[in-house]
Amino acid sequence: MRVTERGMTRTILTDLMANRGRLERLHEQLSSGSRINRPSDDPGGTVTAMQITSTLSEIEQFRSNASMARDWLSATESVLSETGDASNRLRELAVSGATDTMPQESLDAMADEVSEIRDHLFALANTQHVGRYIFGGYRTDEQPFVHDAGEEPPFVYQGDDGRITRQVGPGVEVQVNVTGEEGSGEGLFPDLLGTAAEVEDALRAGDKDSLNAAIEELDLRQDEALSLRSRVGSRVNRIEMSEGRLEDLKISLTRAYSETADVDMAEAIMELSMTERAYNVSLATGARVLPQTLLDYLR
Amino acid sequence: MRSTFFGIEMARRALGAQRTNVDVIGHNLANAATEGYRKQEARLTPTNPYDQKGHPRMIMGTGVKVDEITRKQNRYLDREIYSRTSDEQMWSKRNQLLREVQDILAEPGEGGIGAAMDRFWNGWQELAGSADDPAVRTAVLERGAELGDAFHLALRQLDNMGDNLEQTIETRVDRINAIIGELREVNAQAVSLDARGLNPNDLLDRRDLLVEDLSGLIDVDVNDLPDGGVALTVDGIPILDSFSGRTLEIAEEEAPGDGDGSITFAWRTDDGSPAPWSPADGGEFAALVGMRNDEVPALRDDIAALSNGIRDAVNEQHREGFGLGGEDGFDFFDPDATSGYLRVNPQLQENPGRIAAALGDEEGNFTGPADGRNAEQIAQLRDEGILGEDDVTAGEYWRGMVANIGVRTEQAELLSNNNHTMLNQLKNQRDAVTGVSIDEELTHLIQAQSAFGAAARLVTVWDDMLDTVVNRMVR
Repeated sequence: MRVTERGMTRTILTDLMANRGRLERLHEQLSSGSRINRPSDDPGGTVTAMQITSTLSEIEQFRSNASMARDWLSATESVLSETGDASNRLRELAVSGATDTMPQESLDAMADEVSEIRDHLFALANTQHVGRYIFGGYRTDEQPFVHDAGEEPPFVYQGDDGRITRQVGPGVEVQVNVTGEEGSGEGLFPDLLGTAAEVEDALRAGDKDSLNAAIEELDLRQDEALSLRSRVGSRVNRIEMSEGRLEDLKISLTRAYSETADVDMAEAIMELSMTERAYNVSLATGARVLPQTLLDYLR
Repeated sequence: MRSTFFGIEMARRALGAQRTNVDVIGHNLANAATEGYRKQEARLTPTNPYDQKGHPRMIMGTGVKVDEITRKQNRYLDREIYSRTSDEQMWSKRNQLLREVQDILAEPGEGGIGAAMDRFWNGWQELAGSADDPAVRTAVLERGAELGDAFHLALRQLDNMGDNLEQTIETRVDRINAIIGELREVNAQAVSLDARGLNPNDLLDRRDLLVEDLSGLIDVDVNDLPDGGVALTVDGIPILDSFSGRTLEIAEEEAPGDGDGSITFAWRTDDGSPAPWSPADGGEFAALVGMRNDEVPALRDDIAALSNGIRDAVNEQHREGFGLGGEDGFDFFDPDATSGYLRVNPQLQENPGRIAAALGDEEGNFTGPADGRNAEQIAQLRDEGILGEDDVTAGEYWRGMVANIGVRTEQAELLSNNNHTMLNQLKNQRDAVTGVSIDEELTHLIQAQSAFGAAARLVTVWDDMLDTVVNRMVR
C-alpha cells in the first residue's frame, strides 16, 4: 500500500481535531458543571431537566405562598387569642358584678372597664396585617366594623364572607382568613361586642339577671373563640405539613436534577486526563512522523 | 548496417527520456501538497527495435522514449467521494444550523421561554393570594411583558436566521454558477485536447476538483463522456455536458408569510428555457434551502402557536373576572398584536387595577379587592391542556419542541461525524492510489538520476570509441 504525505496529514489532522473536540466538550462540561449545555447533548435528559426546573420553580412559589399564609394566619391567631383574653376579663367582671354585693360606684367603675374592653375588641376586629384588614373577607381595603349609633348593637359589618385561599402545595388549598362574621350566630366579633354592651348596661343598671344571662352567653363566645383558634391552628398545621412535603419534594427533585444534568466530576476529570493524554500522543506522533522523508538521508 | 552514430543517438534518447522523467518527478514533488493533484508518471517504453535484415535472431533494441505522461486515477473512488462529499456537507451544514436553532431556544437555562412561562404562572399564583397588593399586580404585568419578550426574542432571531439563510443561498447560487461556468470552459478545452490525442492531466485534475467542490454544494451525478468531456445531472436535470450547460437561478423568492413563503429555483438553459428544481437531499445547498423553506417557518409556527395558545387561554379566563374597580371584560394580552407576538394589553398597563384577579359573586358582581380566585384560575392554566390537538400543557408543548430539535441536532451531528469519517477513509484510499509519496518520488528521482548518468557515460564511451576509429586508426 502506498502511503502518501497528504493521507498522513489528513489522518493526523482528523485525530487531532477529534481529540480537541473531545477536550473542548469536557472543558465545557467541567467549567459549566453541567452535562447538558444544549438539547442535543441529551434530548431526553433535557426534557427531564426542564420539567424538574419548572416543578422546582412552582415549589418555590408554593413555599412563598405557604410562608405568607402562615404569617396571615399567625396574625389572626394572635388576634383571636387576645380576643379570648378580653372575653375572659369580660366574664370575670360579669361574674363579680353578678355575685358580689357592691356599691353602684364600683359597678360603674367595672362598667367603664367593660366599655374599654369593648373598644379594645372593636380595635381587634379591625386588625390590619401588612395594611390589609384581616377580618373583612375580600374587602381588605376598608375597615370591616364601623360605629353606627343607629344600629343595635351600634356598629355595622362592612366586609363580606369572602374566603381568601392560597395554594400551599400541589392541590393543597388553605383558607388564610377568618371573616368578621365567622362563628355561630352573628359571628364572633358582633356577638362579643353585643354581649359586652349588654354587660355594660347591666352593670350600670345593677341588673343581676341580665348579667347572669350575659355570663352564659360569654361562655358560648369563649367556646367559639376557642373553636376558631383551633380551626386556625389546624390550617397552620396543614400548611406546615405541606411545607414539609414540599421540602422533601425539593430535595428529591434537586437530587434527580443533579443526576440528570450535572457532571460527574470525578468521571469527567478522569476522562479529561485520558483525553489529554490521547491528544498529547497524537501531537507527539504527528510531530515525529510528519517531517520525516527520505530526503533526511540523502546527501 | 547500423549507422556510425547509432550508439550516440541511443544515449541521446535516454538522456532526453530521463530528463522528462525527472521533470515529471519534479512536477509531482512540487505539487505534493496541492489539493486535487494526482500523481503523474512518465511512461518510458523502449523505442522500436532495429531489425537487421538477414539476421532474424538479432533484433536490436534502440533505446528508450517517453510514451506518454499519465495521471493516476480511480474513477470508482472519485464517484464515491463525490456522493459522500454531498452527504457530509449536507449533514454538517444541517448540524451547524440546528445548533444555531438550539442557541435561539436557549434551553435548558434561565433565559429561555420555559423559565419565562414558569415565572409568568408563578406571578398569577402570587396574585391569587395578594390580589389587593398593587405591587403584585404590577409584577404580574411585568412577568407578562417578560414572557412576551422571550417570545419576541426567539421569533426575531428566527427571522434573522431566515434572512441570513436567504443571503447565504444567494451567494451559493452564484458559487454554483461560477463552478459550472468554469467547468464548461474546462470541458471545452478537454474535448479539443482529447481530439488531438493529448492528455491534459492538470486540466483534468482541475475539473475533478471543481466537480468535487460542486458535489459539496449539490448532489450531482457524474458521467464521463467518450469525447473527453464530463456530464453532470442534478435530480434528473442535465446541467452540463461537453458543449452546453445550465445556469441556476432563483425562480421565486417569497418572504415568510407571502404565498407559501418559499424560495424556488430553476435551471435555465442558454436559450432561456427553465427547468424548475427543488433540491433533494445531498449537498450544503439542500441543507440551507430545507432550513430556509421548511424548518425555520415550521419552528416559527410552533412558537407562534404556543404564544397564541397562552394568549387565548389567559385572555378567555381573564375576561371572566373583575378588576379592582369592578371593571370586567378586559383581555390580559393584546388580542390585536401580530400572531405569535405576546403583548400585555395597554389598557392594563394604564391601570393595573384592571387585572381581573377577582371572580365576583354568584350574581356576577364584584366582591372585594382580596378576591384572587380568577388569578388562581389563570395560574391553574399552567397544568391545563391549552395547546394543540392533544391538549398538552404549555410547558409540555415547549419541552416537546426543544426535545424535537435536540434529537434532530444530535442525529445531524452523528451523521455529520460518520460521513466525515467515511469521507476521510475514502480520500485516504484515493490518495493511496493517486497521491504523491515524497519517498517514492525521491527514490524514482535517484533512479532517473542514475539512468541519466549512465546515459551520459554512454556518450563518453561512444565518443572515445569514435575517437579511436576516426583519429587513431589511420595515421
